Amino acid sequence: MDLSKVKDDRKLEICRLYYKGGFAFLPFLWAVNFVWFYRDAFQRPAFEEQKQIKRYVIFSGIGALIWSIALTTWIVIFQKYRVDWGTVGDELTFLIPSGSL
Amino acid sequence: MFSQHFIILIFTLTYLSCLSNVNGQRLKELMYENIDGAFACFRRLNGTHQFGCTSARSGNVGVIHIIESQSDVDWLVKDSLAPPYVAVVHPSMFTKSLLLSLQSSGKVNGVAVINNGSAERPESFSHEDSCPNRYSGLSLRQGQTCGVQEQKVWNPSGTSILLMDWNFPIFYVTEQSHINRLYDCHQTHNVVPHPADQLDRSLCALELRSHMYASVNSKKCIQRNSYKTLFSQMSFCDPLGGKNVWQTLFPRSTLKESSVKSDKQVESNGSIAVLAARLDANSMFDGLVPSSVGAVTSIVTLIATAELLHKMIPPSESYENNVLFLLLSGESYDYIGSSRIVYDMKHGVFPVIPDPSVAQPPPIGLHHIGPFIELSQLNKPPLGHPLHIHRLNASSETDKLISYLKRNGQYWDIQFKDLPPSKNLPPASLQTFLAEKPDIPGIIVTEHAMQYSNQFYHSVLDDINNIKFKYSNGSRVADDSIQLYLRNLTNTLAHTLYEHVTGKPYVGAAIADLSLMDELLYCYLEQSNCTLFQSAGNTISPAKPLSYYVGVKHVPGLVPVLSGSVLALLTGTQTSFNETHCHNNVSTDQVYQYIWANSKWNDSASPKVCLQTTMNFSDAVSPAFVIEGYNMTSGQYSTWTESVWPELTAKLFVKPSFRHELMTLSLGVTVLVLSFAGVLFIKVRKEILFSPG
Repeated sequence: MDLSKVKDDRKLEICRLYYKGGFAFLPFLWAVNFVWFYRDAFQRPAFEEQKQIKRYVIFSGIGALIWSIALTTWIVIFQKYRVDWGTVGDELTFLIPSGSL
Repeated sequence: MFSQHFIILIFTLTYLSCLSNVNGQRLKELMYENIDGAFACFRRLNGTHQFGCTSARSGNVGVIHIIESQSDVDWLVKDSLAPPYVAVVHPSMFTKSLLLSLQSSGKVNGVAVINNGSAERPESFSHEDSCPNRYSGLSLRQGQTCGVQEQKVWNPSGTSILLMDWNFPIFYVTEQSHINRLYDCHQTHNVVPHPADQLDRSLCALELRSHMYASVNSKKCIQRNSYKTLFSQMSFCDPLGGKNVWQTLFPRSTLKESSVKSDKQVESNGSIAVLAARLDANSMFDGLVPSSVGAVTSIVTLIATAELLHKMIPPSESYENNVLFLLLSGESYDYIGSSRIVYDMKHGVFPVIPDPSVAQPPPIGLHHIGPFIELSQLNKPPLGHPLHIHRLNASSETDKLISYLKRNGQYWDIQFKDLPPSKNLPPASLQTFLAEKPDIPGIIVTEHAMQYSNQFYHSVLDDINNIKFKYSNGSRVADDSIQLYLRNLTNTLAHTLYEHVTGKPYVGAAIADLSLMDELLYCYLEQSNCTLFQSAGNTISPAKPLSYYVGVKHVPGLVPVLSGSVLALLTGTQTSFNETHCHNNVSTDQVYQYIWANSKWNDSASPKVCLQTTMNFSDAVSPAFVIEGYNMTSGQYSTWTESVWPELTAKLFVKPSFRHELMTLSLGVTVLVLSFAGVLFIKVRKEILFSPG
């Protein structure tokens, strides 16, 4: 979709949809929402729907940030301690590396 | 105009790139030369550790360095400058200290052992422990005896290389043409006056792939076997195991009115004599486990004894005492086969799970076992030397057994020397039985005394040359041959067991068939598609020596199947059943098995025949894998598993120098950048380039 050709009221609809969709444990939707509508929310001259879009973009951004911090922390902990956790570590692993611990 | 030219140019380029794809396969073949038929070391695991070798997932690559002397080792470890290397060694140099120094140098990525069979054999070559099965058998009950308190070790040449974890692959190359290629390639590319000269030239290298999926220990990998992910279930390792072969001299049945000759429902204690031998051996390399002294001599002696005993006792006679012939699998790995039989006997389910509605052999318990003779590490001793008899306790029964053996042996020129009773028994299946019931009157008959005289125990060199076997193929067998010696031993054993069964010495004229012994040895050592095995109904084995590695439990091994069918062929009773009826009805009769044999032994022209036999198989799977929730670190039962691997391959190729590789890479990167620039250029000017007309 070429966002530049979409009308502003439609943009707001899309932005709201993505924002709501992100609550279904889909942080990537929030991240995409943030990037896509960043320009409309902050860099364009004011228009009618801008205030609402701005709100959705900010919350999407915060949500995506929290998710990414949480995921990064978990991935680091998991990679570091998977072997020490033994059986539990194996059970949490989707693809067990062959030939190693 | 310009655009038309451009389109033609693009077509030409596409066409050319297609052409190069067609040639791609051949280019790869030109670059790599497969070392086919190389045997690889693989990973095995027990309840606590991992053993053996593995490569990286995509294989290990190393520059070939041929090691013929200590100076080559020093050069590789200290001076060499173009690591990683693959050390190519002869068996005589393949020692534990060499492997350890290669591993610690950090420069070696793999080892290839070369042996074309014609070179001089090393004095000793055994990678097994110096005390095989050190922690199992009697050690479980009374502590380890081998090698402690000035006791000698059984296998003095054992290096334990097999029981170590190597972080590089080890391959064994036997074909002369491959060995020549290795030498030629090394000579052409790798031999330089100074180590630094190796840096700026292409070098001959080997790529060894033997990646192992399992790791850590059996417990871990069996746990991992059971994990199922969304899309797949991966297998990491399989328990070692196979089938034991067992047979009784007289049929035993729970059903009185069946065709069984006498009522043997209530067998007295100690009435069943056992003649046992192991069916398996071990070596470092997959698919190459010959075992002349380790297994074959004992197996063929046992089979020939069974055959002779059936000839000695006419079908009309029947006796209270019986003989149980046992061929045990997995004994090299902490007595898998015998520990399962003892476990089953304790639980009253050997040989079959009792079922009152079926005619079946009644359970045999440990208390039924009388004289127990195990044949182990047999060979023809030097002239004038005896075979040795080992036992745990002195008892009147063992004394009697030994005196029978000695008396019968005199007649056949076989001398026995009974060693003083000792807790330090050689590694043998009998140990498992004694650990459960120490008063079983058991003896182990070996060629060696307190140390193996076999210098190649559990190695690839325990082959046909190790017992100096020469196939006679119907012609006269030499007087000093192994065939004649084992034939005489067979007579001795059969006469001894006859005395146990009948209570009187044998006075008849039946003796073991020398040509049968010749054929048996030939079948087990040289050609597994020999006439005898073919007569026994075998059509599956290829024309090469058998491999005596026990294998994994769900893949039936060839050795037990062949041994069982040969026992059946040689001792079975002929029936009139045709092929479709040549099987037993398991729901009514488990006493006999029926084997469809291609022909009788020694008469290949005879028609196909259905044989009735008491031979049967039993599971040789360690109780560790049967008991629910067994503690894999307890050491009570064998916990050995074998890793799963995707491929075992070795490839020879010329590896470019580092500078060359760097140049190729930078050229590639340049082309990539240029092509991006080109696309960008075309995109920007697309209106001009692709305008019609």
